[in-house]
Amino acid sequence: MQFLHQPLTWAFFLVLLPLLIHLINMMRQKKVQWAAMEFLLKSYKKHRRWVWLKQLLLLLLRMVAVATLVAMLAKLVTKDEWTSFFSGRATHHYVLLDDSVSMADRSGNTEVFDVALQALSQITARAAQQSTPQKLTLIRFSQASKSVNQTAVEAMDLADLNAETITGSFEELLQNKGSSLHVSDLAMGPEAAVGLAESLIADAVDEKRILHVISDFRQPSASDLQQTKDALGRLENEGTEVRFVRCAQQRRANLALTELAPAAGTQAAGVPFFVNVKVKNLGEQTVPQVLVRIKTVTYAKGPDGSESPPQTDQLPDILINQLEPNQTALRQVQVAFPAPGQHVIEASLPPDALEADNRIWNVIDIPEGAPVLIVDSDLDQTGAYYLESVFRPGLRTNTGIMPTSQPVEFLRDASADELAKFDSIYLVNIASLDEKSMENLNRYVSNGGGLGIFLGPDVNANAYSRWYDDGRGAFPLPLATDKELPLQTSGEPDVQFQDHPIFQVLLGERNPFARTIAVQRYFAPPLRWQPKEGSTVQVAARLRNGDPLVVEQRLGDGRVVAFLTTVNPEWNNWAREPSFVVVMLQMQSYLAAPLRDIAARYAGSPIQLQLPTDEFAQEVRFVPPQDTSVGATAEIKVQAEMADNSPLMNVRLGIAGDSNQRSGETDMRGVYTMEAIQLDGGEIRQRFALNVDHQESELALASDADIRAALAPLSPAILDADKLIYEDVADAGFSWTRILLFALLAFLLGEQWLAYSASYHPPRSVAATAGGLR
Amino acid sequence: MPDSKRFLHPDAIARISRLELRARYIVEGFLSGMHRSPYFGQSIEFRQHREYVAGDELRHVDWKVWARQDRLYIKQFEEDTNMRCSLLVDVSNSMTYGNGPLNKYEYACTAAASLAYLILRQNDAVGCLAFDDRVRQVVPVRSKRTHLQSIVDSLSVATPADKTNMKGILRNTAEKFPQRGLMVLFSDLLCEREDLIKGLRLLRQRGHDVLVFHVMDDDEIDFPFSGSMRFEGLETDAFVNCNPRSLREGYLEALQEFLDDTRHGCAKNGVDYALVRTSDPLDAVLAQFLSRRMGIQRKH
Repeated sequence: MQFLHQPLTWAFFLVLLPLLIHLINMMRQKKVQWAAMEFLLKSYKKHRRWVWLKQLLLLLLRMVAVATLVAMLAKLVTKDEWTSFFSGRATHHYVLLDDSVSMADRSGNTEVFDVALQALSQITARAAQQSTPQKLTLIRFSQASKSVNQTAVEAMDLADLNAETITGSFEELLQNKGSSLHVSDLAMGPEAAVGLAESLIADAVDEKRILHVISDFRQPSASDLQQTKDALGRLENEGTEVRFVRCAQQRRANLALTELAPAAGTQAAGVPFFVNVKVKNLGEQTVPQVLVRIKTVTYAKGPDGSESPPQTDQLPDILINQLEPNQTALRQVQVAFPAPGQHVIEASLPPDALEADNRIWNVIDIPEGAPVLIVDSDLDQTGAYYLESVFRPGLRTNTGIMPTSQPVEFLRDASADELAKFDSIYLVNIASLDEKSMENLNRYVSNGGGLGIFLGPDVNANAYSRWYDDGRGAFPLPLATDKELPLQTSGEPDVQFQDHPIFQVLLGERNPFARTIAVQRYFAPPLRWQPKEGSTVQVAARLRNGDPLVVEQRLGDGRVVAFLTTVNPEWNNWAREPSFVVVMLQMQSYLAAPLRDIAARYAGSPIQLQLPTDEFAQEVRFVPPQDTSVGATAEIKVQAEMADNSPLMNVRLGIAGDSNQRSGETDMRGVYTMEAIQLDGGEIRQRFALNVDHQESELALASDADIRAALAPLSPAILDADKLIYEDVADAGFSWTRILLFALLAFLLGEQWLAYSASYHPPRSVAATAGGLR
Repeated sequence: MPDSKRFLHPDAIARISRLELRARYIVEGFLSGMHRSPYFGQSIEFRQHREYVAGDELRHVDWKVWARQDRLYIKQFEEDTNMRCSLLVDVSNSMTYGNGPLNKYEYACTAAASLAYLILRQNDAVGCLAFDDRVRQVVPVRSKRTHLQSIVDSLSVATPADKTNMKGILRNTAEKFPQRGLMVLFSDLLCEREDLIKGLRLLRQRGHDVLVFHVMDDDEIDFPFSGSMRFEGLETDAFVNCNPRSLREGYLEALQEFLDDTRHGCAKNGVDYALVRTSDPLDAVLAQFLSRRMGIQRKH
């Protein structure tokens, strides 16, 4: 038996109050000189015992009522005292604390995470009041996400507090361990933490276990919970009491920057290109006048190769007039970096509930130019000429594309690395390719390269059909023979563009450019050829007779676009049309896009790269982001891992040793800079932008019903943190509050009845009392 | 309540300090309200006219006859001097209790004085005896108008003290007033019940008519007390600490039993009994008395 509000137990002295009042009343009693003592004495002798008994009962009842009231206010709780007395069984609180990004949801000066810490303090404080031994294990979600095998050993290593005996407050416990808790920049669910807790609990014996999951329980996390259902079910079956403590009470408005990436187009030094900026409204209200600030940080290299001090440029702000709930606005901002190198672009939003998703970074690798290989079998290189005139139109206009011509044998003899240097390769009127060339090109495309193929009079249809190899080769379709396009009779344009990125600019009604294109000859596929179902082959443009003219296929990471006619104006007039330049530049961007498609990196994901062993020192330094809310952090030195028989060494940040366990070094959002020392004394720097996973930006709360539905048939207790903090949920044992309330009412009713019976109630009226004898 | 009766209420009477004045005030007020009452003719009756002779009081001359016949005649009345009334007033300690304008003692004295005045006004003889455990004051029975002062004086001189010794007193009274007459007892009767009944029986055996005015305070009848109280006996050393409301029922039961016994004992011995509250108007006592007297005359 214990009281949650210990200081109130002093009020038990108030039980003496009725006795005191009784004694004072006796001392203050009114004296009356009475004549008719005979009758009074007679009545007194007759009723004395009963009156005394009633008075005594009344006094006791009043004292008990006061004691009950005090016990109720002091929150009497009891537990199985006898069991604990004989067994001394300890209670172990396993607390899984959500420290994902959404826990930084801020209202005023209070974050949801602060509420979570208060709830944790309350759990500890209550545990400290227990008479039986109490232990606390604290595992943060971010720590748990480092786990690989989810073993008890890992759990003990990752837990902030591991089976610490609770003797004082939670803050003292943390202080003793030298830990501090704050919200991470990571996106994660509870599954890893539950797994670790399960592994710890499996090893624990003879203890009462309570698993507290303290989180904000947003809607995305409800689906995360589904993954923990089995583990939670096992824990419950093993006798663990599972409690969810909900820290977030309301959904707040939130805008998030969900993307900052270059749009399609060639990126090269001095060439302007567009960067896509996406802003999503994750609140429930329309947000007007959303201002997005964009800035670029240019890292130019000096004449000696060393990096000059960064130059920050503020670009014009983007103003989004209105953003509806759940709407994502896409805006483009034009950027140009004058020098090659890795530059940083950053977008930011005004402050709102969740600060972490208001900034986003990207590192844009700007080359000197985009190298392109053109292979033309013609001796006079007519086709190559037209392509080069598009890619390199003149000195005044810089497309950033650097075309190189090579003979067809280059395709056979070049190594994979040599081919990989080109953003894209164009084949012009190549009669046929030998097996080696086809193999090299297939590999090149599979690794992300772009291949553009133009046919012509020299082309051997059978050779290309062999290359097609029933869909396994890079060529997207089998060829039958070259055909004459019948003369136009209906006024229909020769070329009909399909919905494809290359021809996107030419789509639309009454487009004059499409009508001027005339095709006389082309290679047709076999009769009734259609792209196979499930293949990546698609027809990007057709002739008016329905035959395909431009066919695209994706192979591995790369793309292949085949024009079934000539590039030079031999079989068509396109090369003389203005639309040719646009289409060729679009095609180049499209083919080279996979190389620029770097998957978005999120905070917590490792940074991995390879460096030539014979060029760089083994020790590599990483400078973490310096401008996050966590504050400046020291640089991290990483030893590159040498591999046997490999000229490359692996540099990994954010992974601990060989275990593939996340080390937490990349847990902050922002731009990381790698500095590698070259053996010849130089230094190269490479940058990596790690952003917050915008899944965490969704602040919609999962209802209790959502959580229960996700966990059905499990039905864990779901408590509000506020209730836990302010209202005293009787988790220490059985709460007597309700019973005491009813008992108090019963005592008070009994007291009133007894007081009435003992004639302590004031007379109803004078008339009633005057109703004596006559 | 008629206007005349309004002034007979104890609240009004209490404002008059002199007992004699009180008595006159009460009786005059009483009679003025009852001038048509048959009781008036009971006390003084016209008998005959006779011729005036020197020495007759001029106030007895019938001027109406003189006006008609021019001869002086005197109106002669048959005076009722048969009744001898003795007023027995309990002045023991218990009579001092009272929570209203008059305590029991004051009320009894006022009632006794008023009766005496009324009796003397009717030319009857009246005497008085104040007692507690023994006789404190005795005023013999006389019919002189000035006798009222003696009675009032005796009541004023008597100071409440000691317990009531009813049996001894009533025996003593029977001896002191051997001639038969009307004995009017004013008391709270807080004494031994048997002694009271025996004493009253003794008076009846001696041929007296006995009228008992049982004077009680409202508090004693209603017992309206509440709160923690200590009751200390006026005539005993006994005390009771109690919540009076818890004892009220038993008290009233005991009181009712006493009243019933007393009423029964009185009725059994031919004693007229009237319970009077100190809050009752004093004319009630006079009315009771006259009613009783008329009953006696009818019997005779």
